[in-house]
Amino acid sequence: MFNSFKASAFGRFTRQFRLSFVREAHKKAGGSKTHMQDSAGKRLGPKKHEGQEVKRGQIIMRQRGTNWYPGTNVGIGKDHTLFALEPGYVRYYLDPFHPKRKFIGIVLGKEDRLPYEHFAATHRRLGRRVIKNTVASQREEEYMSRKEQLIMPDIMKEKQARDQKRAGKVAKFQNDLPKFVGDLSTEELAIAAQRMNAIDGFMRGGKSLEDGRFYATYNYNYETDLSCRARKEISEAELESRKQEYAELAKKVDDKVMLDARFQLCKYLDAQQREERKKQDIEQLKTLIPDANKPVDKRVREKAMELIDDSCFSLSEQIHLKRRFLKPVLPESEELLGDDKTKHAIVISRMNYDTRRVDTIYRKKEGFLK
Amino acid sequence: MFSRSKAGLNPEAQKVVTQLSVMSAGRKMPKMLKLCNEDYIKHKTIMKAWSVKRKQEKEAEERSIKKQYRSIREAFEDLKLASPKLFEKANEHEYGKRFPLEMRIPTEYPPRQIWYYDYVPRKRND
Amino acid sequence: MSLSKGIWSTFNRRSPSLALRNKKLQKALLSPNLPEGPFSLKKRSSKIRYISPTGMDEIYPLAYQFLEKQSADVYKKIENMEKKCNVEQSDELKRTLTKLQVEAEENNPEVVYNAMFGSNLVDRTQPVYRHYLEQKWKDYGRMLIMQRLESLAVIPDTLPTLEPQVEVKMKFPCNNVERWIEPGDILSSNVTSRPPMLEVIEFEECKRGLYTVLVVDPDSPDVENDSYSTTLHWGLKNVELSNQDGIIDARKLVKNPDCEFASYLAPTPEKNTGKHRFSVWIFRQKKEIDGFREPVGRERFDIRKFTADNELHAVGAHVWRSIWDRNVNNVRKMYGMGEGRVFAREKV
Repeated sequence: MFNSFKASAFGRFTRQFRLSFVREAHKKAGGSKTHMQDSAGKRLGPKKHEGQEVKRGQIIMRQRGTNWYPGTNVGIGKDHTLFALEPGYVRYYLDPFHPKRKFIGIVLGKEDRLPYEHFAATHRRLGRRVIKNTVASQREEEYMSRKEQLIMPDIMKEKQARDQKRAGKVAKFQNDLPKFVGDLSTEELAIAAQRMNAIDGFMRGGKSLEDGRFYATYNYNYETDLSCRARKEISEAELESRKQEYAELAKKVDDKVMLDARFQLCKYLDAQQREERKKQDIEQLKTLIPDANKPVDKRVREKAMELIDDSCFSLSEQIHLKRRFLKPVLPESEELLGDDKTKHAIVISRMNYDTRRVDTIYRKKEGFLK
Repeated sequence: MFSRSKAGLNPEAQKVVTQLSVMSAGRKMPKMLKLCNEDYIKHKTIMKAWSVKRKQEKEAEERSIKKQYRSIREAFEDLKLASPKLFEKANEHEYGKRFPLEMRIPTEYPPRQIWYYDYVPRKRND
Repeated sequence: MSLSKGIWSTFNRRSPSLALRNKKLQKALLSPNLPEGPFSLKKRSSKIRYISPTGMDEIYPLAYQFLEKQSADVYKKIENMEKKCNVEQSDELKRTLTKLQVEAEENNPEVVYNAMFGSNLVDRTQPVYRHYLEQKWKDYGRMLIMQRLESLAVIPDTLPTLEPQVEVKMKFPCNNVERWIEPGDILSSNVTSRPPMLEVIEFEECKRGLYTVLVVDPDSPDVENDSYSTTLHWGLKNVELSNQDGIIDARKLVKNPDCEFASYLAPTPEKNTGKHRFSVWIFRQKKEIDGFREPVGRERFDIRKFTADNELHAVGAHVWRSIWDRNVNNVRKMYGMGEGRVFAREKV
């Protein structure tokens, strides 16, 4: 009786939705316990149709899997529900770039079609309003996320430390500059110290001295330009005069002082002078340490270090010279090797690949720089 | 009914199998060349020279084959003009002779089986 | 003693930049084996431990001389081509000539060494080095920039599309940021407060080309229309670049102040307007631009119309992103812009 009822009532549907009734063939004979398990309908399907107006967040389609894909201004939920991201009008469409997919999109204008023209700028909606109330806008501007709130004290502390360090550096430059450059007024001295600080920063960032100087001047001029043209604080004439003054001051300072490889103030040397000094220093080093493979005493070492630390050398040149003249480990010559009775000997265990044994080598302390 | 291939092995045998498979994996993968920059460039140069040489040889071979084919064609054209009768005779379909067996793509080595002594052309059914 | 006895050791017709500058390295590369050990290995222990592959010293000279002979043949062809080029000048001939020049040198071990291990310092006037640079760029840089432009929708939001022909690199040296910015990076308002430095690497021959640079922000909020508009942040025209010198930096702009037709306006995104895409566009100019038909305004800048009017051809692009941060107000003050608007956090 049940079967006949089913045939009459659902016959039409069986023909249409053959797929959903495929299980029929596998069904066990009537009366089984599993037969009666049928869940309620999940109310799937479109909730908004072509051309219908939607608000933000309204659901357009409920589905299992992505029968329909989210297109323009449409989002997709974790159960593949499609919803509107912008208010507008629903469009069901096909996209030639994805020939196997069907899309649902939202257009902003009632007459618009999807997909939009491929090379045209995308139609976008701002969807945000300006907060006019000053109190509210200030509150919004000062709003911090929890993460930001937690991290802010550390950031401020670091910033303070940085500012302090910078101020200290400027003060030091202010203190030291008169030793190299005479006749600087207090104002000039302040500007010059700022400039040296800027150059110091650029050089630490990896620029050469010339680049550092150029960018320090450039930044000053840029700032002055802005104060004249953008902020209208000074006139055009004053702008020119300030630039002129700064250029003069920069020349005056640059001719007298520069930063060495360790970012310390020192007397300015031009390229030619630097080359000459380099030659002289290397000659002196050669006379001081004729054979780099022989141990040197403390006095000679200090003298050599002084020569190497000269401001004419760059950092890499200093390192090269140190490697050349003051070797950290001298080669294992006869007089530098000891035996197990040597006082303060340094013991090295080393694999000897010929004998396939670990050799013990006793080296005298003089064989090492430190 | 169902049996996993490795399920029946005793632990000792399994260990041996694993170790052997590890060793053979190394053999399947060519060892990476650990070269200094100079030697890497030298290696690249050698490989390049070899590929250029191979390419030249291939091209020369192709050129000579093309030349042969062109001269055969020209000879046939001449024959066609000189004596159409002979040309037809030369192009006549021979029963059972589809593709001359003795003709093969020229290779650098002789074939494994040099000659099919008992070769008989297959008879057509119709 | 050197392997090379042919064309690769003569420099009367070839540029000296095709040889290795370091003599020890050159000696290592031009000998069958490594007479002074592996020069490129720095550590002493690795130098001692290193062993060259067996048999390489026998084959390498053969390979070198074989390739050198091939190169000599190509040079003969080049000579004929050059004669032809002198009689009639056509782009087709020039292109074939460049191709031959690349073919003649691309297997030279010294050139390969320079191209592989000294990539940024190579002589870009030589076609072969440009060829290697282009290869490298196509393998990574070009794909990266296109991926970023497409996924950030810089194309088609600013210009319809781009066929990149030059590599564009960018950094902000005025603010002591000595690092090449990767396309799409989010930068703080402090970093971008002064103009960037750009490097344009041409892969074709370019002795004196004129270029236009635009930096636009297509995400400026347009409250009246409830939409977004494009703002021009920086505009340069008639910037002279060549193969050797592809840098657009403060030095060049100080020397040629006429290049800047729209001064740099630092990015200052307003609160709750999301990430703004600042797209840098490089255009090749057909001729020098004297002036513009219409005055160039910053607000509601129509980049498509601008490029069409001035016959500009986009050849390269870069993009960075900026977002509101707590330093934006300082930058606004620096540029005399007044307080920025504050937008509501929620979308309506």
